[in-house]
Amino acid sequence: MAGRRRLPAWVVAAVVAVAATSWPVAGRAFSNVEVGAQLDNPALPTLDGGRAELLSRKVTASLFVFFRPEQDHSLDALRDLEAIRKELSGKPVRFVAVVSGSWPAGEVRQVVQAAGVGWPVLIDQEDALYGRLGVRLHPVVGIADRAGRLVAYEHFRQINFKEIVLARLRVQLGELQESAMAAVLEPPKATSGSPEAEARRFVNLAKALWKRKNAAQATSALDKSLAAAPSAAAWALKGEILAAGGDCQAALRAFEAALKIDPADSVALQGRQACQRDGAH
Amino acid sequence: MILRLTSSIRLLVVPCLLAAAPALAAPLKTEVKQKATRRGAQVAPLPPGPNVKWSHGPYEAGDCSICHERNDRANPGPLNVGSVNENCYSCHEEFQAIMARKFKHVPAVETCTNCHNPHNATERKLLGGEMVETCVACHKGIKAQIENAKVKHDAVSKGEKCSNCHNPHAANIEKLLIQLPFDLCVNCHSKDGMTSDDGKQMTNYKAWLADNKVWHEPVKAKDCSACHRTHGGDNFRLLVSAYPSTFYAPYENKAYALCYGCHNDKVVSVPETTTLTGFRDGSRNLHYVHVHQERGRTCRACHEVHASKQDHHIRDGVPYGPKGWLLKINYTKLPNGGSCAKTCHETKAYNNKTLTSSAPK
Repeated sequence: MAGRRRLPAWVVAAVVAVAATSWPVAGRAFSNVEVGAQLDNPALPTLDGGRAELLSRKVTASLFVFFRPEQDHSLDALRDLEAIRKELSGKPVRFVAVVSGSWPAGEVRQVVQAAGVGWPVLIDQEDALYGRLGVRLHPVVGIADRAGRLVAYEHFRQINFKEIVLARLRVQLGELQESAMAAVLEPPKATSGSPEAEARRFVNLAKALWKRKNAAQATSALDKSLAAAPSAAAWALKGEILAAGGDCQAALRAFEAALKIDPADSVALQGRQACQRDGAH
Repeated sequence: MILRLTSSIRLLVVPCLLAAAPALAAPLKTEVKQKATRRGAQVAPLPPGPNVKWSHGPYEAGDCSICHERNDRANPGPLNVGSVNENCYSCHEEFQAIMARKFKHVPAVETCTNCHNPHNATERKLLGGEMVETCVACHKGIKAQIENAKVKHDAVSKGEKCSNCHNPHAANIEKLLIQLPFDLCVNCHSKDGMTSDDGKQMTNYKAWLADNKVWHEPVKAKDCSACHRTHGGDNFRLLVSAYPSTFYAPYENKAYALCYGCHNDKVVSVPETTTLTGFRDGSRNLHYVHVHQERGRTCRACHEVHASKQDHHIRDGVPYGPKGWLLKINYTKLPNGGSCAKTCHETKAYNNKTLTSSAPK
């Protein structure tokens, strides 16, 4: 933290005056600004020596991110955001980064370059904006709509940060329903297997074996399928194999078991009909 | 699967408990992947033997033509369909949906036989080798973490091992996580009576969070890995970086690397502020006052890091003395700041609505 610039006394006094009128309120988002609230739109000096506003009224979504040098999460977040910017290239979204004026410009430039960020970097002198919003965490993202209303707040996460910010922007762009955010924030469990999947697998194997007239192995596979999860397909194929082997009594029982699970199973219906027509052996 | 890891899981992540291991600085990055030669699994059938316990259905059925051109063990020829995976999916049809998930494991996309022997194996799921060995053959960074960790996590080596938390094929969450970290962690860390290797009692997090409704942001985000290195690490409680393990510690920035991974160090390190924190009397930064002493009060002295009953993650009390007598903090939130009734010190109030302190320093 060494080497930070000291600011003129008048800046300090101005910041103190602003801070004295604000106090954190409880709730989601920045400590002092809830989602849905109107944001100020200060024009701040930029890293490249110019001046830029925090928000733009010309775009559908203005994203701003508070970050700091010497922090892995900030570098990761800036990289993720730059990837998002590229993904949304050509869409009405504006990105700006905000960094405390206490950091030497050289250190800030290093981080920005390492992250491949080419968007404006605003210098928050004496942490005035930080204090006004009640930022508290680094890095943290805010998204505002065209009217300058805060529509989303996301602090950094180790997992799925990019996915969540991208989805927030897509909601604001009208590409994603707000209701879809629930699945982004709580993705469905990624299971691999289920008894039903295992049962289908053995039915598929049994079909392949039966195609090669390997009745014994096909039946063995079907028994494994039925043990995993009974299905009409397994019972129907078992009936077919039994009928082909001349055991229509047993085949009928298998077809009935299939039809109990799925009364419309065509293999079982046809098999039962054939067995009834030919008579049970 | 993870539920099988009952009391054998010893390591929990409760930074508020006093722990023995020294806090060492470590990079926050936990995932370091390196490309390595894949196709580690042996594809040809293994000769019969006592360790060859697992056999693939078609191979067991003895009909090579289910997958190959010919039913000839000596010369089965190429596969019936173009790619290995297409061949596999003809029976394992659920994998078409699995592999349509957003985050895919590259070896699984390439070919199932990168990890599985399609004939028989000594390992469950027809893996070509023991699971952790198979995974770390490519994930060298994780291998180093697991091998070098002073603090081990049983979830890596017990039960389903890597598959306790990761889906090795594809998932809906980064790092191929089956669920968000918190949902995975509480599969084990939701029991009473679990102890860590140092004998400390570990928290039942489901119960704790149900009883304490002010949750820390990473907890709200189910992002345990923001603070904990799940494959193993050098810091107590698997913390990703340094955090004082004791109630008192002299202040230095690097000792709080864990907190400063997200929080602004200036909240604590500058003596005067009117913007960075509400815990100030006028412009006098009271975080600084508490922490910047030879016997500085560490974060844990006042804050409960996972969840608390009071705002600002302020804990009800702290264990004090050899018998763990609970010293109440007695914090009260006031319209213009707050106060702490006599416990650690005389009753003191602070006012953050004015620019100068009215209280004696």
